Amino acid sequence: MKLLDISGLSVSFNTLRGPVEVLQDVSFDVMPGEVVGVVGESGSGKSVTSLAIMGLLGHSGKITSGNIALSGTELTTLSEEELRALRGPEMAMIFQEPGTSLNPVQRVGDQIVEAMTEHAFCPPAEARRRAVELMDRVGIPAPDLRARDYPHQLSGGMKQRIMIAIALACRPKLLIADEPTTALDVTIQAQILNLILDLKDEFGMGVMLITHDMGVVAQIADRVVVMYGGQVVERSEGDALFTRSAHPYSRLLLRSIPSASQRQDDLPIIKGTMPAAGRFPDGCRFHERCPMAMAACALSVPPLNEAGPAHFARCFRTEAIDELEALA
Amino acid sequence: MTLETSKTDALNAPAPRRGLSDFQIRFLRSRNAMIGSIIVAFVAIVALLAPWITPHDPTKVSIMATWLPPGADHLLGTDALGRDVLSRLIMGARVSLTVALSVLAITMTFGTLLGMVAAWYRGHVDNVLMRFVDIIFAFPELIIAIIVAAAMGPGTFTVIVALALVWWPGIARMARALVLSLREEPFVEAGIACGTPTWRIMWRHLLPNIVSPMIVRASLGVGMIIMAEATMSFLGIGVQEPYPTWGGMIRDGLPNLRTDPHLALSASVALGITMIGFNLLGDGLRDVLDPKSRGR
Amino acid sequence: MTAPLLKLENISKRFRVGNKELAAVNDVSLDVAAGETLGIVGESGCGKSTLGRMILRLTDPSDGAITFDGRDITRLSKRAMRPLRRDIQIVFQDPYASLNPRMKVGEIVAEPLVNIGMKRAEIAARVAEVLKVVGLPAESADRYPHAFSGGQRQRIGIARALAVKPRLIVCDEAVSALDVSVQAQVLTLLRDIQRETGVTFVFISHNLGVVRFLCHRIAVLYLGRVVEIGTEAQLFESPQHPYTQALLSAIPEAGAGRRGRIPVPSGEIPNPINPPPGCPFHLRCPRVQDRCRSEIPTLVSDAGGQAVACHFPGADADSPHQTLEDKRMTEGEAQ
Repeated sequence: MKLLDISGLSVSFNTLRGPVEVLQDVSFDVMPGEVVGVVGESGSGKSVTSLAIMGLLGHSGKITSGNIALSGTELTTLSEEELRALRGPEMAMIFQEPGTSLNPVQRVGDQIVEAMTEHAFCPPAEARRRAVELMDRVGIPAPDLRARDYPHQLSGGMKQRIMIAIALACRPKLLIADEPTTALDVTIQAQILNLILDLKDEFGMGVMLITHDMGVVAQIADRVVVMYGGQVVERSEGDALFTRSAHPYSRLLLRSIPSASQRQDDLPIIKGTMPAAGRFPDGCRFHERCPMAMAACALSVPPLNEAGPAHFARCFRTEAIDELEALA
Repeated sequence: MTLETSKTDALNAPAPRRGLSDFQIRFLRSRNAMIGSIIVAFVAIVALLAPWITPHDPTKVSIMATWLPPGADHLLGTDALGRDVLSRLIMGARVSLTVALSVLAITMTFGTLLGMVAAWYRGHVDNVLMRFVDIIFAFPELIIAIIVAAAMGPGTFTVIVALALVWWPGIARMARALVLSLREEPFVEAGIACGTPTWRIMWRHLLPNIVSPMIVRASLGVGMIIMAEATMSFLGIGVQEPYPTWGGMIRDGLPNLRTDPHLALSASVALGITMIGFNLLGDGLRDVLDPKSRGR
Repeated sequence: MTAPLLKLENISKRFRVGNKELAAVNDVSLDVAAGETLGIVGESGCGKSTLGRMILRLTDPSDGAITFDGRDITRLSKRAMRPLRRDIQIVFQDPYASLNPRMKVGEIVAEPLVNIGMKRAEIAARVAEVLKVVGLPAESADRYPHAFSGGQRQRIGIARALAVKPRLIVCDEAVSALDVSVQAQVLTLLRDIQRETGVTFVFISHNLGVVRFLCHRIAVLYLGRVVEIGTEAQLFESPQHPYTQALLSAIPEAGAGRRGRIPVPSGEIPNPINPPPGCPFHLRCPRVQDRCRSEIPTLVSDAGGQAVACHFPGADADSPHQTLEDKRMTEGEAQ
């Protein structure tokens, strides 16, 4: 059974100048025990998707249509109270800035304990013992001593490990990781990604990994969702996206990443920038920047066309994608 | 690839914005800012037009018409000397605002300048200036005002000097705190790195970026200054007779509060509404200029 | 070989933190030749930004000498430094914080020009010219920074640096805050500017991919010390220092055909207030020997100019990467 099933999700935000649609018809799913990578540049809607799942859109954001089902439970109709009961035991989230998500005046061990006692996951005495166990498990040396530290006494990598321990305290079935390694150094990033993989295998949870970094997704995701302008533009399994991406945006984006493993003489340029929400062009939202665009692209939004087994791309010209090489 | 092709990424200039700016939209939607600015505008217009809109001469004594209750001829009655209360209230607004704006102009200029200098040069300059500020803070403001009044003799000018003396340290501290955090900003460092002289860094980079929080602080302060001025007049060390002041009117009316409440009450209400007006405006401006601080 | 444009000799920078001393930069010597791009890479706390700020004289070195174009600028006063400011410019990381929100773009770009006393009419022409070079329309000059996207703002920052035709530009994480597609635009722009004008870059970054694309030579910093320096080909094709090797293998990269766990040394970057004795990397190093724990290795050059500060330099033969790799493969077979 699908752990997380998002279908046709649309979200609007109220701004000074009226409502703006930031997500449009987003659909994908996460199975237990797999890592689904959601990639996109800033403004693509990837973080809003995670906030919508967690019920953390705030007062100005609103789900206008679509469904989010977690282990078969529909989340969009739940009350704030009911959602809160699910955060922790069913789903948990870690964020980009581990420093700002921790309470600066509470010992980190207590923060892990609190995550358990809040949901009556286990009695306080046991929670304390489990907190130290968890800290050991996420790779914090001398966990019984470190449990008494305040967040400012820990490095960025250690804080992110604490955040992961808090997120895992109630053994959630779904872990949403929003840019969990973006603020970290590359060697620490590698350690944290390895840890997430280990914990996923150990607990059998599903992981939704949100990132702007194609490399991170390529490294650890079982399936990939590429977002652009509030829509899913490509969805694939495993390496398919990286070896034969079927959407011009993903393909150009992949090639415009400067590589450390081989020398590039030129980086392909995707002209312009992603428009802000509310200013998307009609038709395909990428067509103004797309070297392959034709007249039809400006007229209607392309559907997610099949580009291979379990591989979909929101493009009219998916079949002609190889022409891109000559054009770009 | 040549330079030309890297420019073909077609960066269009952002379209000129039409209609209202974000600031204007937020201002119009902020109930505090709107009500506050209406009250302040009303008081300011009354003060500005005072000589032409007072129904009677506010200083004209009339032995025949003392302690008149509010009525058709004297809308708010008369005081112990038979002077028209409404007219005195209107002229009093002029005195209050003159004092408040003078004090603000002086303290904002010097306080901001000294605060910026202290934060920019740090070290000894900062230490000397800030210890001086601490000393002034250590005295209750009324004591300083009384000392100044004793030295200079009471009067409008004395009130302005005394209040400016107690008011500038707060402004200087705020300007210093703002500049201390600004000086680490990359755009300030960029200025230093390209050889911009210090005075121009202060004028072009620092000052424009501390103006909006300073304005908020100033508008919140006006109410307090008006109150302080009224207190000094109430104590008799402020603006002197026959000039009408709200503080003086409250003082004169207080002994007769039970029998003739209109005198003290009308001045108190005018003072209260004006203070509320400036505070609402200050709160509103803070919300509008710094939307992040809005607590909901 | 001609004299280098910029020469750093035994530069150190120490800060006081409480009653302890933090050595942010430790005995760093580097040459930058005119027209080349020197990359400075390292993780947080390695001192790369402090090094950049010292080149600009935004902060003063505790020890050592900085020579620009044959002239010692280490102890120049603010006033004496001012004429040199037109030769050395900087581009910052944060495209939002590096532009004064209260100044129009035209004023921002004109600031260094005003400082060198250029006439008003010439300034307007030069501003229009550099805006064109960075690919912004001339009308941008009349608008405020908030009207522009992150990538466009970074172009404004580059235009400001270019305005006075400097000979050296320090780019401090200049593309790190940008999205990938915009980053590619700005990187290409920087490279093309160098080809056209011959300007020299010191390019500070934590991103090795970006550095490989843009830089001719690269210095790797760890805890304030240069651990390896070499040409782009030397450093990426045959890294000799175990830290450089660890950095390279820790980068997750699309299309590299690697999936799953990433080979990476364990442990954290030590706190620079309490650096370990001996080699700064020894706590995390797979090749650590007794000697590494007590003796700080010096930077030794080989014939090709590649220099390594390691007692046991060499190719990535018996590093933990291989063992991890093997482990992963056996795991893969087991499944």
